Amino acid sequence: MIAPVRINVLSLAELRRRVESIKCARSFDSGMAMPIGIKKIDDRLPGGGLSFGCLHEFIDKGFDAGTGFCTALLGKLLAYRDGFVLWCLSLSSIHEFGGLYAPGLMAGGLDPQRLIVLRAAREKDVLWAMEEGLRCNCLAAVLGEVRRIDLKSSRRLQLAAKASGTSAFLLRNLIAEGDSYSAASTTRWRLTTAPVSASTKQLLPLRERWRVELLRCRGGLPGGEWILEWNYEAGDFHLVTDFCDRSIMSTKG
Amino acid sequence: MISIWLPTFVTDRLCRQKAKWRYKPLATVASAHKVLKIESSNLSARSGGVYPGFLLADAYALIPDLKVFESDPVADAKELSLLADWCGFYTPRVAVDGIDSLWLDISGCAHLFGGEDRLVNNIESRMQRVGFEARVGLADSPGAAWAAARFLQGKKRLIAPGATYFAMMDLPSTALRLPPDIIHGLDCLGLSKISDFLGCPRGPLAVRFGSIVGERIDQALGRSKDLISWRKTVPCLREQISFSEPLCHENDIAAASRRLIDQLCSKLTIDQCGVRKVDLILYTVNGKTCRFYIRTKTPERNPDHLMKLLRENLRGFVAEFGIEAAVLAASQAEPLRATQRSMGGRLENLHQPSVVDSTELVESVNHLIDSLSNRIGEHNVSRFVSRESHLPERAVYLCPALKVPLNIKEDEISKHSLQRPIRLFSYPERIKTITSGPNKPPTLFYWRREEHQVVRAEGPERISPEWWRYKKRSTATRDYYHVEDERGKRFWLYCEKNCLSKTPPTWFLHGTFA
Repeated sequence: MIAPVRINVLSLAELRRRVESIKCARSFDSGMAMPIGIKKIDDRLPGGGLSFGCLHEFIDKGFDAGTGFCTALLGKLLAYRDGFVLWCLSLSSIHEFGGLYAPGLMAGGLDPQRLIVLRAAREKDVLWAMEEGLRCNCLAAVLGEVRRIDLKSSRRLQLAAKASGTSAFLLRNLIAEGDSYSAASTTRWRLTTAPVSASTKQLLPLRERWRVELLRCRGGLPGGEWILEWNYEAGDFHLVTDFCDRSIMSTKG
Repeated sequence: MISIWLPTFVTDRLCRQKAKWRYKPLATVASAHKVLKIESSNLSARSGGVYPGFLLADAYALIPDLKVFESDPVADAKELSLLADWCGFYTPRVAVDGIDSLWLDISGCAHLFGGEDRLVNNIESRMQRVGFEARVGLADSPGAAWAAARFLQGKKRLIAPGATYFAMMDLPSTALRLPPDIIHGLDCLGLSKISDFLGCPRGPLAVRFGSIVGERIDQALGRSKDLISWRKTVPCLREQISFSEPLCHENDIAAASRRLIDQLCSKLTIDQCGVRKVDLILYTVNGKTCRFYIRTKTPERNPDHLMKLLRENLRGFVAEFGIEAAVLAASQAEPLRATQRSMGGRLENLHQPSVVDSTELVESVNHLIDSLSNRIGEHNVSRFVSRESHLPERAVYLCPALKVPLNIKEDEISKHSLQRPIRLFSYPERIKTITSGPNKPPTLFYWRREEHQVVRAEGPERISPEWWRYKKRSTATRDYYHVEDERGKRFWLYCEKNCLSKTPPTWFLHGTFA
């Protein structure tokens, strides 16, 4: 909650900022967000990037694109924040999609040394561990892989994240299109692996290529869709196609 | 040293299951040489004339309504070890002796119960209350205590310090823990009392019976040490609390443990120590123990943190009939110097990492690891540690975070020159493939009943087995391919080939790329 206003006379800018913060449930200053590195995406996000201390939801059917994209984001986040990353997996998720593999994470931009991996038998324990991690001030981010989450638990995570300033990432595998999106997240992304189009006969080596959709964004502009590639050498994203702006696509072929 | 002898332990254990059997003749049988023989009998059966060693048929002739059970040595041993744990209330050094007896090392513990006399009475009455007939003997040496429990009654069963020699004099030779054939041999010689051969020269005895007679005499008189395997190592610090009324409620137990933790932590502060492992042992009224333990990553003496960990473990604990005593033991303690905390205590600005004091950051990471490990399990909260191995699944493993130092050397998991998957299956999954020829990547494969068409492939990368790890030399090599299907999904497949045998290669899917 915002503290009661003591001073009667406020500047217009200050008032605007307060209204904005009430609207978005937190203030989006430029220092409060981590730029993704692609200007077209950052422009759509409040504060010019993924805001700290918020719940971000990533939806992926197979967890391959989602794992890669989150790894890259977490790696970038560790450049801004001290501390560790807590990655919580449920056993069912490990059986279905495999466990995390450190050399792969390293290539994806996340230093495995700064990772704490938690394997929980039930999704309930994953949510408990995420909340425990968010309440402690020592983590840069907490990521949890869950299938189902109700509004109440996602709200708890959002509040815990807000209180400590730790970012919370939720990696979900919604099988059907109509599955509930009920999580109270600040941003929601959908990720799919993207094949190389037939016209661009890109040769080896094979690269990570994701189709990224911004489905929801509080205080920003949702609705963008892009194809991103991960550049191993630079450790950064590379924009391949922007579906909002056809001109790039035509130049790239 | 105390020896507790439970003469009717087996039948008492059965009676504990049904109270109405207590005053009825009861016995257990075991088959020996195709005959059913009585293994143990209770007091009521013994008064009817049925003793261990009788044939079952003879026993039925003496007592027609004798209740007979099959003997279960495993359950007996389990119950005895539970009882030994329960005796940890008196002293941390408890040992199981044979099938019906316990050792208690009470050095320095007797005064806590108001002297040796009252301690012995306390043990006997408590044992009686939970349903075990107990005889207690107390002496300087384990051997003398063993004899006192079995052959002395009343005041005499407490052998005063220094009086062992005279107390042992009057006892029969069976009081020396000798094997039956030696006792029989001594009887044949007319040496039925210890005093008969206590002063004799050892030589002739040793020639006839071996050195054991002399050894047992020395052990009983405290001239040589007995080898007793104590149930667990003695904790360095211990706090104990007893309640006049049994505690049942979870919150009451938590409050009592908080008091124990505070006492323990103040002792730790004086000693400049911190605990790594703490056990809370609750003694229930019905003769059971409940054990909770917490582990910490670094030496710890912060009562709030320890209490938080313990409270999490106690959640949902149901004490059936109540707790009558609680012991908090620090089973692992390490030196911990006092540290200067930064001013303010709390982290002021969370969004600027420079403000965060690094020692505080480390401390709170350790606390987080502690609380996660204690609830989710030590082995489920882990960090990556690398290992020298070619095999991808062995090259990196997850080690419990409690055991790994927070700062691992920088370049331990190096950036691999070759691409590695981001998710790896712990057991590679068999797939069906169609390949265009040997040493070629597949053109099509089926995984989890789904068809994947390979559009592009990279490889092979050959990984040979680590022959030095196996006794039987394994010759199957793996050819790894990084493939991409028509939907843009990337997989890590391998083909296992055995160079020596003619079997066709088998294909596995080992991981997925991002």
